[in-house]
Amino acid sequence: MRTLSKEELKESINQHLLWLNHEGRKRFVLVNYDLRGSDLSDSNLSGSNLSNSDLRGSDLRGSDLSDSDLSGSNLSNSDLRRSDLRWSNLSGSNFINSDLRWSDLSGSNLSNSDLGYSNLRRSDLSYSNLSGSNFSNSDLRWSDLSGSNLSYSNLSYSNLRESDLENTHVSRLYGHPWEITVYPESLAIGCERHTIEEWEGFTEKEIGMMDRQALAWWAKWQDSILSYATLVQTD
Amino acid sequence: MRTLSKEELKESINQHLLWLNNKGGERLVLINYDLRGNDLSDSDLSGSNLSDSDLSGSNLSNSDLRGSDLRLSALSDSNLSGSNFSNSDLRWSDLSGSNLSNSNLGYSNLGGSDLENTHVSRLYGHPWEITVYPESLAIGCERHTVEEWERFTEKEIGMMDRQALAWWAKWQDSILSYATLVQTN
Repeated sequence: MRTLSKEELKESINQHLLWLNHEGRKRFVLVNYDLRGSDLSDSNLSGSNLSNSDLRGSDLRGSDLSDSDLSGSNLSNSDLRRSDLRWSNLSGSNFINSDLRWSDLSGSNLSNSDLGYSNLRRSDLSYSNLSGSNFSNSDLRWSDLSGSNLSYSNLSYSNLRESDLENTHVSRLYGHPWEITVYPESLAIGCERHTIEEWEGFTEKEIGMMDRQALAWWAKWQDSILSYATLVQTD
Repeated sequence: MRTLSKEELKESINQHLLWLNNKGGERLVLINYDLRGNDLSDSDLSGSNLSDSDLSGSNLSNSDLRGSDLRLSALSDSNLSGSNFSNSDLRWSDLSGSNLSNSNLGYSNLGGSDLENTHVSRLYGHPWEITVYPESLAIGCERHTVEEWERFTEKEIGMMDRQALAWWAKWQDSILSYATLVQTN
C-alpha cells in the first residue's frame, strides 16, 4: 500500500477540483492507498476513486463523495457526518463503528458492506442497495430506508425506531423471547433465520431443539407470525 | 449495588423536581442502585437516569418517566399502570410481569427488553409506530381497544391519516389477530 504526504494529498484534492471544473486532467484516483487518519473534511471528491484504500479513522465530515468509487475501502471508525455519498459504490467496504449521521447514502451500492455498530441516525439510505450488508448493532433511528434492497442483510440488534421502512418488506417485532425480524426473503427469530416455507416445514422436534422455551412459544405464535411475515413480504 | 433509604430517595426526587423546574436542585441520577419495592407512584421522574438499577416490585403507577434512561434496569413485577415512558430508553430492561396497562410507551426504545407476561408488543416497519398494550392497540397517535378498531368504518379510518385507508385494507386482519393474541394469556 502506498502512502501520500499531507501536502501531496492536498494537491491531489486541488487537482481534482480543477478536473471537476474541466480545467484539469487529474482526477482523484488513490486506489489501494494507506490514507489512515486523513483529513478530507469538506472536500469535493465527487467522482473520485478511493477503492480498496485504507481510510480508517479519517475525517470525512461534510465531504462530497457522490458518484465516487469506495468499493472495498476501509472506513471503520471514520467520521462521515453530513457527507454526500449519493450514487457511490461502497460495495464490500468496511464502516464498522463509523459515524454516518445525517449522511446522504441514497442510491448508493452498499452491498456486502459491513456497517456493524455504525451510527446512521437521520441518514438517507433510500433506494440504496443494501443486499448482504451487515447492520447489526447499528443505530438506524430516523433513517430513511424506503425503497432500499435489504435482502440477505443483517439487522440484528439494530435500532429501527422511527426509521422509514416503506417498500423494504422488512418489519421488526418486540415483545417476544427473541428479537423477530421479517426480511424480504426470510424470517429471523433470534439467531434462527429461515424462509417462511422452511419455518412452516419444521417439525415439533426441530423447533424444540432450537431453544428450551421454543416449542410452547411456537404453538401459540406460529400461525399469527407466519401470516404476518407473509404479508410483509408481499407487495 | 448501592442503596438509599426511603427518606433519601424522597429527597432525591424532590431535588429532581426542582431541577425540572429550573429552580436548582439536582437531576435524579441513580445508576446501579437497589431501589426495589419503593412506592414511586404519581412522581415526576422525567429525564432521570435510573439505568442499571433494580426497581423490581415497585409502584410506579401514574409516574412520569418521559425521556428517562432506564437501560438495563429491572422493572419486573412492578406496577407501571398509567405511567408515561414516552421517549424513554428501555433497552435491555426487564419489564417481565409488570403491569403496563394504560401506560404510554410511545417512541420508547424497547430493543432487547424483556416483555414476558406484559401483553405488550412493538412493531416496526409501518408508516406509524405500532404498540400493543394489555388493553388497547396504538397505531401512531390513534389508541383504541381491539374491539373499537374492529368497528371503525372506512370513513373513520380514512379521517385518521391520508394513507390510513389503503394501509388498513392490507393490514387490518393480520394486526388485529396478532394484537388479540398478545393480549390473551
